[in-house]
Amino acid sequence: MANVTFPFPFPEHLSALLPEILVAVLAMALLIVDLFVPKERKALTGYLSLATILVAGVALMQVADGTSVTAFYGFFTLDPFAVFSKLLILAGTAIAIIMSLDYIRSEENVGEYFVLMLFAMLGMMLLVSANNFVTMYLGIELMALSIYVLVGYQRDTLRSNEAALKYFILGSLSSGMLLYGITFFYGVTSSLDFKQIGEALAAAPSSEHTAVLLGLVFIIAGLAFKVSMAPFHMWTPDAYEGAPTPITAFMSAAPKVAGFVVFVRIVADALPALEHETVMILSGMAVLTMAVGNLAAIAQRNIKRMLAYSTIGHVGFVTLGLIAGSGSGYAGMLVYLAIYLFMGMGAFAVIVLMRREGIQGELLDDFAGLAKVRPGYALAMGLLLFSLAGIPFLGGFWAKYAVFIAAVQAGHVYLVIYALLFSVVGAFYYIRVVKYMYFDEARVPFDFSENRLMQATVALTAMAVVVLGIYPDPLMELCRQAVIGIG
Amino acid sequence: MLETAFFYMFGGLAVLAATGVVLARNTMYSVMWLIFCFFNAAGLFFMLDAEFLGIILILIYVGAVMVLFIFVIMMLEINTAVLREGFLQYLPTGGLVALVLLIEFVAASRSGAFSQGAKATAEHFGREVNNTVEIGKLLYTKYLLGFEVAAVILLVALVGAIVLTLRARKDAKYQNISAQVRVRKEDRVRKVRL
Amino acid sequence: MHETAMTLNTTELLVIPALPLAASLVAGLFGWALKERLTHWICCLAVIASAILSADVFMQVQQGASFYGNFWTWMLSDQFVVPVGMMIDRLTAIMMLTVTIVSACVHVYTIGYMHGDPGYTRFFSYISGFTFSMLVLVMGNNFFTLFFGWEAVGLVSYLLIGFWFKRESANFAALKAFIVNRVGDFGFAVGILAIWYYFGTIDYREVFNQVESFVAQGHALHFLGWEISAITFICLALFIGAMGKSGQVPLHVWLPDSMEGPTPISALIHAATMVTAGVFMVARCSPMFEFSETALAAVTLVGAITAWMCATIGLVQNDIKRVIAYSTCSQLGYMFVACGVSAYSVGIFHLMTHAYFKALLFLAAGSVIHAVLADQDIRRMGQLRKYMPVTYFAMLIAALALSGVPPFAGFWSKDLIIESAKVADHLGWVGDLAYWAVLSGVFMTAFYTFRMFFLTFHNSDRLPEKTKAHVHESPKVITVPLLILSVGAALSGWWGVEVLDVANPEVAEGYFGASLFVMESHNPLATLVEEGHHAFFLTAPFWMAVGGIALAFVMYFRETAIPARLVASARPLYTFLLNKWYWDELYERIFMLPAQRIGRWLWQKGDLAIIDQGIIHGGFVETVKAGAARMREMQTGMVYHYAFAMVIGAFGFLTYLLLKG
Repeated sequence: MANVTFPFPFPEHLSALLPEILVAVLAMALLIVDLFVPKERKALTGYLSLATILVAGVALMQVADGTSVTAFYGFFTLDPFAVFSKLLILAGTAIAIIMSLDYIRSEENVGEYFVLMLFAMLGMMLLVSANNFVTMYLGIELMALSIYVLVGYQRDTLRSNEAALKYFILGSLSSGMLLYGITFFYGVTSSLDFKQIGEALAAAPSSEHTAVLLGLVFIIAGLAFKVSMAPFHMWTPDAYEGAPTPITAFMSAAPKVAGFVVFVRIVADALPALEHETVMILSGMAVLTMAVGNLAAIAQRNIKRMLAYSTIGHVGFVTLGLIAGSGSGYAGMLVYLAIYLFMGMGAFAVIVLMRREGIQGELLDDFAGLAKVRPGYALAMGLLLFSLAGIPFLGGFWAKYAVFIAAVQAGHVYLVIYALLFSVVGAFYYIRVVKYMYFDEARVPFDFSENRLMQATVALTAMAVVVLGIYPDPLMELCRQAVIGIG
Repeated sequence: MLETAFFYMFGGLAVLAATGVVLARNTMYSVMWLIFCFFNAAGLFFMLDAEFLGIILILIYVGAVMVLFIFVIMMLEINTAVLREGFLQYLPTGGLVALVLLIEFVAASRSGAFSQGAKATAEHFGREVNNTVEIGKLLYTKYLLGFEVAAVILLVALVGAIVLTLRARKDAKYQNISAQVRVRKEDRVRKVRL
Repeated sequence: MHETAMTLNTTELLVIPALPLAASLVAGLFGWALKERLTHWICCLAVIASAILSADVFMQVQQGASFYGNFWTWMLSDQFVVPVGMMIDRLTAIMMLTVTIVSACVHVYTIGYMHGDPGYTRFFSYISGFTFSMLVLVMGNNFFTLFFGWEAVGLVSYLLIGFWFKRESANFAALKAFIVNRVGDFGFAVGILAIWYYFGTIDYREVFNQVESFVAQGHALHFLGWEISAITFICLALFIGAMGKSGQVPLHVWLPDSMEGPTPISALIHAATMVTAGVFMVARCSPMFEFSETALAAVTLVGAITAWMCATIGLVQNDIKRVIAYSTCSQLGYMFVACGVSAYSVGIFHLMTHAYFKALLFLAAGSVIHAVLADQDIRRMGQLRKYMPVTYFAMLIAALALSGVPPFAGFWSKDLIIESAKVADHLGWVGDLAYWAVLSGVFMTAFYTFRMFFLTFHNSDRLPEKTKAHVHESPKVITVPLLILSVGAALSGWWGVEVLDVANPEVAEGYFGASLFVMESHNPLATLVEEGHHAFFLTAPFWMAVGGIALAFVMYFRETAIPARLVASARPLYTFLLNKWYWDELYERIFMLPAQRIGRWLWQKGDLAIIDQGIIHGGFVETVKAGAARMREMQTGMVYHYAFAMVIGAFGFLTYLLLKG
């Protein structure tokens, strides 16, 4: 942080924030435009928010030049790592908005729904560009607050209300923990900047060790909550189940990208001096997370809940990359998150397509016989599920491969064996759905959403896992490029 | 010496008040305890020469937020007995964890820099500065990004609150003024040939 | 010929396999919507376009053009690089041409043959997919693409043998093909891994360039007290793969059974193209095989035994397709003999001519089967000449070509093989054995071909009444491909020798140029020229062929009572041959029954006792289930439980860290 004098210089590299500024301004404009959109044509707002994302994407590609710049007196950083993760976040948000177009039609205040998604996206974009605790915390809160509201959007559904409230309360608790941890770091290092904290911690005398450890545990706990690592995951299944399905899909992918990216920045920049302790905590959490996610998923009858636990399981696998703590580990995480974004959201998109009159296609039994009724959907879902299970040669396999290899290289062989064990357990409940789809007789008649954009999304995600499965190299290379200079 | 005494007084009362918030049977008492807690926290701010923060805490939290809380609580009827069910059941485990955590926190805050009090105090401590001006300068310069983001967060909070509460109730009758104004005589008046 | 540095157009090369692939995907994914007409149009046009482009490539290659390059890296794992690229030289070009032309004919033929089948679009998807796979197999520039194509054609073959999956025998045949091929593929995979292990690359060009220095270094393996040179090991392992794919003894048993598939498939996959992949592979790897005389001897020996044995079995078979199938095994044996005696160019030449006349033979047989209501027993045919003149004509040409009667295709290539085997002195007794085997094989080939021919088209009319009312010439979509292939079966031999100059003693100066490698020390073609053997006509093979035909003529045209008497007098031999040397029974004894017993034992003891009882009911599944239930219980839905879990989590980690240090 520059030494502050007054009058203050104009913020440098302001253009690096162009995408964020555009999103903020356009989202606010959309809030007003929406007032003039007639109620029965609210999908227009959705399309406008898609356009906003497109604009942000174009702006992002304009300002991204492969170098690393900091803006706003060092409170914001734009490097390839941030650019890549922002692209993922934009893609995830866009898919979630597409999923919402039909889904949310029957609700009230539809316009604000899309605007809130844009604001959540803005929070994540700030989050992945955070290089200090101030920006990080504000990014997290912006993202979380928007999502709390989105989770509770179906006000007449008790489940939705309950989910939102639980998520909100626990989210506040985790924010409290995070802030508490940050104060301890600030107390020891007098800084909020990741890199400066890293340097100060390396030089900190051993008498401060207890305070540092306390800060470390609480900061990790706060972040772990955001990415649903056990034992800070308890909100996830309830919130996922209660939220509107597109929001569930959104939550399962985009915030995880943002959370893990900032996690990487903190671990790589602020915590190198505490590597041993960090790895210990993260390993413990990863072990718990993989077990909780994969085991609990088996017992679920509701597919949204099952996918919620599956997300937790995947978070456990991604954590391995963080534990590896190397460039290849971070690259592996990006590969994993990118591929997970497609396959996870694709699977949720199929659920959205299956919304039955009044009830959503969300019980496992509802998938029975899908292959006979809609072979195309069943095929796409099957591919996505197999990919989630990590069957070679689909995208999910390479995702696991990337992080596992990195973890093995970093010497965490036992952890990887443990992870392999649980990926086998995980395969069970994914393939169970495939069994329902292909080998069981249909029980309940469904009407399917015929939204072309949605169908295209499902087809694209399914194709993405196949193509990435056959030819993962460009993505891997892209991720390797993106993490150069991290850690 | 006197400062230390005041510190322990404010600090101790704040802890006491916070305990009261949790333990009070009546929700209204909890709110009152919370207000008391804020006052003590404000006192701690004053001791750190952070007058602005202290005043803001009282003005906004006590003056606005807590008053709203009281309104809401008085409008709702909350059965406190149900909420407190199982309190004793969880007390042993919870209490033990809390106790150990407390010891750990104390140990942490007594280690290193915190015990010397050097880094923890603000840079301007003891100097003649206008707190409000300094904060303003920093907020609108160095911390501008955070300030702006905070503004967006407030906007989201506003939108969120409206979204979750504003609803056109289907069972209530509303007066649609624009429809009334736009009405034409053809819509309402029918000529009946007798 | 001068090799000018002309490079082929990359796009054109990519389009050639891409067209059938696209057609296959379209037919497979959207066939239900496109309906039959559109599907077959798409597939046929794609493959025909592919054939035209292949012909163009062939002509450019003849002018001296070539291509070598990688398009992208499929996988990269440490040093194990798997690129996807192409190597187009003269060997590849002739394979591409053969594959696409035969495939195009079969595609068109299929329109008529499979008409009205419920799996019509699926069938088209498969055969277009097969064409793609086969093209990948031949066009690749490394062992991985070869392996990919190898497995892909195997998969399609499996799917197509079991195409009529409601027939139990079809399912068994498909399984048999798959399992037997697995044995071969295992050897093949070992070979490729050995190549990677020793050479550190799987790129053809890099491997072949290193072979000479590699052999000079004298790498060797020790196995059970034997010392075997690394190059021999690699070649033998690869050849085991070729044996599986190309139906060589003792892995030949699947090929006759594969006739359960629809006839177009028998023509395309199990006669003209896929089964010849083994021969192609050996020729492609000629720079390696040349350095291992042991491997060459093995290739020759296996080829000779197959050529002879399958010919003997063919003598007595009554199923029209099985006769041709055994003939295919036998002819593949000829090709391997050619490769084994280092006459690779001749082997590939025979591959090409064989592709035409054998495809023709099968398609004509299919036309017959189509006409006689799917009966395949030649004992219930006869006098079909009257009903189906075009098919008769096509079959006659094919039979003459297969028997080796000049000037039809088979004569040119087969004669060269036999002559080459004759002068293969460097292989010692194996060479002599091979010579006698292939020479006597010619006689048998001519005999069984014309036995089948006479029984089908001449002899007495033995058609059942019901069939007789139905029998008729096949429609144009069937006969036109027959006529096109007839041209190939008639002329490709002459064309190969006289126009392409495939049999030039200096391989490098003949058609194949640098794509094949033959060591100076044992070049049979050169020896032939030196010793003045090289004369078509009036040599032993010719007389053998004529003799075979004459005998068949006597037995099945003139004196039709002879066969029955002959069978009666040599009953044991007849039964032995009719039962195909008891190979299937042998395998059943030594592999299947013990395997079943082991399987049952593993099932009883392993699965039921240990896994089901011990692990599943005794532990693992219970643990997982209990764990799952436990996790579910923990998810109470109470916010304060969740919050408490978070606090406990943070508390636990903090306490642990503090206590530890």
